[in-house]
Amino acid sequence: MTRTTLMHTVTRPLAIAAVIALAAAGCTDNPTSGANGAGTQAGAGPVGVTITDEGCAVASTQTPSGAVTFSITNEGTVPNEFEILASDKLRIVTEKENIGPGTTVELTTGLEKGDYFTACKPNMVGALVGVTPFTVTQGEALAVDEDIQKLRDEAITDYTAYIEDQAGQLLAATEDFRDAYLAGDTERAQDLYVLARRHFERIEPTAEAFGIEEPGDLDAALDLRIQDLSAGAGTAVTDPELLARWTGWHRIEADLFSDDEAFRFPDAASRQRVADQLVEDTQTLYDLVTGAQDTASGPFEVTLEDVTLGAGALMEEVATGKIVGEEETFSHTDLDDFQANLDGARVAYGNVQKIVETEDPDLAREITDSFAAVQEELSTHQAGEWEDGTPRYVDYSTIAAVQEDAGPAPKDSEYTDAQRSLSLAVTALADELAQVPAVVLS
Amino acid sequence: MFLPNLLIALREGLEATLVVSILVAYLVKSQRRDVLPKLWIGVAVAAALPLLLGAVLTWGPKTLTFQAQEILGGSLALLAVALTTGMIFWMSRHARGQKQGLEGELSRALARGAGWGVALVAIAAVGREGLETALFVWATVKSSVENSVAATTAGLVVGLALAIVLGILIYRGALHLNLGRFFTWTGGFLILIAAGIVAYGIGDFQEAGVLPGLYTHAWDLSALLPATTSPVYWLYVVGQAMFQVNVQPTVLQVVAWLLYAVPVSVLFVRRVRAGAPRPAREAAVPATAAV
Repeated sequence: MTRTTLMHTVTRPLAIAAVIALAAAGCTDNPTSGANGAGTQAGAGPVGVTITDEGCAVASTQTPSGAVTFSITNEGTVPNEFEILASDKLRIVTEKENIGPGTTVELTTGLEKGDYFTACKPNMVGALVGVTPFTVTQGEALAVDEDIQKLRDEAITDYTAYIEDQAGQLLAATEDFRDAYLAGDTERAQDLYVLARRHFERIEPTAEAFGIEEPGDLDAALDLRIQDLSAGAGTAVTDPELLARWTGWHRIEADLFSDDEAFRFPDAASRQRVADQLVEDTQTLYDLVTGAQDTASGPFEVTLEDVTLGAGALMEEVATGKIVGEEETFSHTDLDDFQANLDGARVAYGNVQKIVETEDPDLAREITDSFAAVQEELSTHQAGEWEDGTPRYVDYSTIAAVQEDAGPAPKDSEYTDAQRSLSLAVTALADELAQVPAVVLS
Repeated sequence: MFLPNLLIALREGLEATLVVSILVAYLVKSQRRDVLPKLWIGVAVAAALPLLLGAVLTWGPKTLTFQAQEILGGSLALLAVALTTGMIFWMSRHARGQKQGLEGELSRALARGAGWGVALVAIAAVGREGLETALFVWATVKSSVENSVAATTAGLVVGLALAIVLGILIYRGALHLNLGRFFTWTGGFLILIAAGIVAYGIGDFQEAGVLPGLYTHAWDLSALLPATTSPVYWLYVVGQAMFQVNVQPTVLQVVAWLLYAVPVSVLFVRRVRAGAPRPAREAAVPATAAV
């Protein structure tokens, strides 16, 4: 037995083990120092750590997951060590030793979402100093499953198509409405008012994007309520000057449905002007969503956020605001609006339903049940059908405490039982829909 | 800024130069100066590779994960122990050979290939700490450059230079010993060094989570450490460099240290006194069994 064979017997396995260890435990990304020393992730530069002999201060105790870089400065007098410990404070996730006084070193490590602790060890021995909780939040989405990405793309495509379709129907129905209204066919106009507005109410989740000069200005021109206008101006809702500035659906609603003479148009010319304006603005809306014209913030486009946030936000608004009948304060056709809002929310959610079913099947079941519950609640107030076979609802003021002619809103205590149970059902749905964005967008 | 960084560099540097100076002294004492070039090539490779790798990891796009660093450090430590142990017994056999007039035969054996063996031991001794030292060196230099602080890098350079000077002094001291005593002393010295490296390697594996018991300490004297300016602190640094003196070892580290040091010492003493030469492989078993 010679020395060389001894060498080989001990060297080979150990060398191989070292190589394997290196390959398996592997490499991680170094921080790429940008101009401002930004780290490898958007919106999160290096986390500063300042070490003194007594302490160990971390600049922020939270960072998104992924490659996390710590920039560690030792301002103390002894060599130090920086450690990141798992939530049990025992397992070392990563560490940097030999941080000499006066030096700044960088430590980059891949951290998953979870709770950690940071700490220092003066002289690299003994008790940990400055143990601080450190939270890693969900960072940028990692590589998305291809199927999910496909579903997301489909959701946007489908919802965009739905908006274009409804905007087209809205335009046609609005023209019919104007004609009937200006021709003095009150009964037909009152029916068409509901039928046309349903299309608008269905795509209301994206109404924020309806803007020409600024986001939402078109939505205001079409759908502004006199209550909001008077609150802003500080005058009564029947103030002639205020009424003269009022345009859109609800200006005509007031003229068409209210028994109060104060809401009548002063003359045929102003009636004609507002009705034509309504069609013109609706035409603009159609041009925006079909891309024939740019919105205030560039070409109209629907994002996944719009699809997911919109549905929940709309139901939230129904539950808390519209429930008092503020929207259709002259016509009391609120229940038809609610149905349209529900339709729109259902379509929006339906486009991402597959994603939710994949990621969170329990939530998907709850939402499906809640949609059915709200529909059932509405159905108890059905009074016949429209010519297209869709449900037609009773006057909201017959089943609920409502705002009459833009008057004072009813208090919670004045709600009817029907109103209360409708509100509860819609609130439950809104709460569940509010969880959808986190599931779909993460 | 200057002094503490000097001490880190001194500790890291001395760990490497210590073994190398013993090896050089050994070759010179054995009239084997012709093997020295091989040894220096080994040392150069062992020093250059980690420095290069360290630079790549510091300035390049990729760096090693903490676990990879620790597992690599632990593996290299155990490799260094195995090689050093082989070296100890090789030398003790040589010591016997001197007395029994077998010098010629053994010298031929050394010439036939064990010369590279000596170089390999040097590579292991220098390379073991190489990556850790390199990462420290480059991180400090990078920090100096980025913050325009010269003192830290100056401390580092002086510390490494001091380690080399100490290595030379140890070499000179060793040369003054007579041959028999030289082998006994350096052998004992190397056993203590290797036992320290065993404990160090075990510590690396514990930190990487490969072995359990990271927080089961045998004792903790860390509170007694004085300021870096105190001579006691300097002693501690040198003790760390030479024998991995640990003021807060884990139980497993202490057990591993004993599992290595006791059997190897007993074997070594027996062989130096009168024992027949035994295959070195068996002597190395306890070291690897401790893993």
